[in-house]
Amino acid sequence: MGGYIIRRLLSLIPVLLVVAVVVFLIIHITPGNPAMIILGEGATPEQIEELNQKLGLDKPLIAQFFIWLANIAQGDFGDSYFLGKPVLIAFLENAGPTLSLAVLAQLIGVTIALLFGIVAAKNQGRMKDDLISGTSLIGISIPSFLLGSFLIMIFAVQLKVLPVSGYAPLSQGIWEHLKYLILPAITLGTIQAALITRMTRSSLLDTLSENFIKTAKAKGVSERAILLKHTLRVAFLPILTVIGESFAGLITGAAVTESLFNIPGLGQLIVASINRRDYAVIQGAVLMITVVYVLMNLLVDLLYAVIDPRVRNSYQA
Amino acid sequence: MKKTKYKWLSLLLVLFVIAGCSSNTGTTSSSSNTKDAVQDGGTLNIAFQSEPTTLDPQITGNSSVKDATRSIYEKLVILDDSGNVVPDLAEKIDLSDDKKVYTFQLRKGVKFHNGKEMTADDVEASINRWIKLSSLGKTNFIGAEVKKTDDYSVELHLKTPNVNTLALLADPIPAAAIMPKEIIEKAPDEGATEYVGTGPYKVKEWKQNQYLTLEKFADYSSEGRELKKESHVDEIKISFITDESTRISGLTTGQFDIALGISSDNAQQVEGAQTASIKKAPGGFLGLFYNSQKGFFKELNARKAVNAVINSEDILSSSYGSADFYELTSSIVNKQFPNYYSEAGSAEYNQHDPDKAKEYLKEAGYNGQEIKILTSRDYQDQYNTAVVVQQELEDIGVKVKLEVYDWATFGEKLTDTSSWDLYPVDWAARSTIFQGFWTSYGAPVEESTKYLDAIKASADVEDARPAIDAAQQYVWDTLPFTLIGHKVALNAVANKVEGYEFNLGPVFYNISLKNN
Repeated sequence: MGGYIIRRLLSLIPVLLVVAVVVFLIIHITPGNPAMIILGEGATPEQIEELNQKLGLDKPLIAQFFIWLANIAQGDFGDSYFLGKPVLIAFLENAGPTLSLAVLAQLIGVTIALLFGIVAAKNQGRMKDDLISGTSLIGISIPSFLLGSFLIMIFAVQLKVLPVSGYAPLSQGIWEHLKYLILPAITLGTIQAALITRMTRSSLLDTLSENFIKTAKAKGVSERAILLKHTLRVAFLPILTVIGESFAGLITGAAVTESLFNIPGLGQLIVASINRRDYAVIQGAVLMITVVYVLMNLLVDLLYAVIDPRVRNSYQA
Repeated sequence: MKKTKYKWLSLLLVLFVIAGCSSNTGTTSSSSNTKDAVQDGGTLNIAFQSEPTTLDPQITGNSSVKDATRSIYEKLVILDDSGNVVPDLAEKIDLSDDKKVYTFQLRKGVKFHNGKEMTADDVEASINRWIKLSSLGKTNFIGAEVKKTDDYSVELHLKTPNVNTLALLADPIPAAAIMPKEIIEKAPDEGATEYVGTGPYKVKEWKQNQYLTLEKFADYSSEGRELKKESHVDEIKISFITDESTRISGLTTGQFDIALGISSDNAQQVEGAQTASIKKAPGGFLGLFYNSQKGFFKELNARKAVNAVINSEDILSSSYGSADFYELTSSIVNKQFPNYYSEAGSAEYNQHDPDKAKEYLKEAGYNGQEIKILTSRDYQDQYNTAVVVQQELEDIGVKVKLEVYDWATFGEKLTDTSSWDLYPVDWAARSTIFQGFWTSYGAPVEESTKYLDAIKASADVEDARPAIDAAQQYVWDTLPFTLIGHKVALNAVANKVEGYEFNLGPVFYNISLKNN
């Protein structure tokens, strides 16, 4: 099992290299130059050239790439042109809010999804099932800024029970911290729930039609036990994949929701950096996100092994 | 037939209707007509559109930096709301007969936020740095230097006289802010990292990506000055909220007392809630800039053709809606600033005459070439202008291609003058005619410089009037750009805020909060 993990971790390296090359090329080929943006309107070509030299942007592209790679290998992701601080620090500062938001949103999403998915599967073909299918269709289709604005309008503006926007770190108290995250978490969680519900429902239905379930029914096992103990455990594998992928998506920063609720997370950081052509941050952040994504996938695969002994054996091979 | 299916649909519809229709039946507190004495205390909460890139106002022209640093730093001189220069940290100003040496007597007993007293050493260091690093300094003060003559006086030596000198020193951004000598000496060119000024508020905390808090500076006094600055509120908290709807929701719920950057579409919504009102101010001008250096528009008749067909009303209303939110005026400087306001050349403004345009087009020798308009969707009004202008030109038989990019790319494309013919852009409101557009890409710099020099060489602002009119006339006769009109900047201010003023930007000192 340990060998399996090591092999997976080593496979990170080629993945990161490919991502590094692609992201570097794309942002450097895109028109627009950070020096022009830093200096603003009224900057003379000489000033821009001076700043370019200072930032090392006048060197040939290949040289810039290898310098950057060499620095990364030593753990130096460079400094942000705009924030005046190392990219790593900026990333970690912004990762906190996104992590909290992602965990909360995923909890909400998974809870709703499992509940709805089970009810839908149990009542297949009947009204409850149609209702749930319809609602999850709306959930998938609704844009996050629309749902978010809607929630702000009802809970923050009309009912005034929650703040409109902003963020308080955990250090200010758990309720303070959660207060600002509830609405954005519901926004993101609803969309997550919609995705996971459908997978839950179809996975459960597939498993329910298996022979061993028919045997259990014949044996007289209660409906509840069949659903929760026997079916869910087996059906959970594909659901787990969807959960893992959607969580990785949340971690990489839901830029629109973060900007709507003014949460200083990774999504906001990356979008702002792209607009400002802050190359160091964009490159560093994309690499770090790739690492998160790959590790997430590894985690899901390991959980598979925990849940399913058949998978455990195949890893040992 | 599953009729019960529709139960959930109707439930959802009801929810939408409730949320949508419930307008704020504001419990309108009858405003008491008794004049309350100014109340001290409280925190003023402001929502900015964007975060300042630095708190060093000497090195940048960014408007968020201007708005945030206005209460933190002071300058030798300051502009009143008509654009006249008034002494601030300087007590007395003298000008030599050859108009090349300004002598400033400094106020005594002015304290910096770190407790130190301001003296001539600090002024000398600060202004010399501003001359070296700021865009205004680099273009207008070439070869100039400030020298200390004793502890409370300095001399500014210019290479050539410039009637604008004091107005430039009073400009809110890049501001010739006075900082302690020790900080100036340590400050990197990219921006000081210690923020110490003499203003009524000092920096308490700057949480990047979230907020900036300023607190009252107890040792501040504007006693004896013409323009008073008072700190009534204890704290000013500026949050950076890029999404306009979030700024507005925050204003409506009382989370913010002031929300900057409201678009004309939302003005009614803010006024409707009755907890705040919209304050209007000159927002700068929208112009269509020609490539006078290369291509079709090198020819004057070509520029006259476009100028003749433009319908300013159509363009401005497409972006700003009602006439409350724009101004049809042929003057570069808004009439709020009478020193530089000029109606010269107004006959050429907003002609919307397609026939005349077609004639000019023929004289210019147009033979079907494609005209490229460069624009960016990041600024909706600029984009709308490009679209309307494209329509107006196509109506007189010109082939037009719109090239739309994001702002960063747009800026880069502009530097290649062989790749575009026209671009719309707006410039911030200023109290003088001196701004960066005279030297932007594609502009006829050599031609325009002599008009600007004529203004600078005048004895004083009144004497400069003929030169100012001549410069404005030149703009309409030779068309380096076509002025389309002025925008109105909209900011939302809650009813409990008293003493709010706008002078080339929102002013946060002198504000007090009513608690009813």
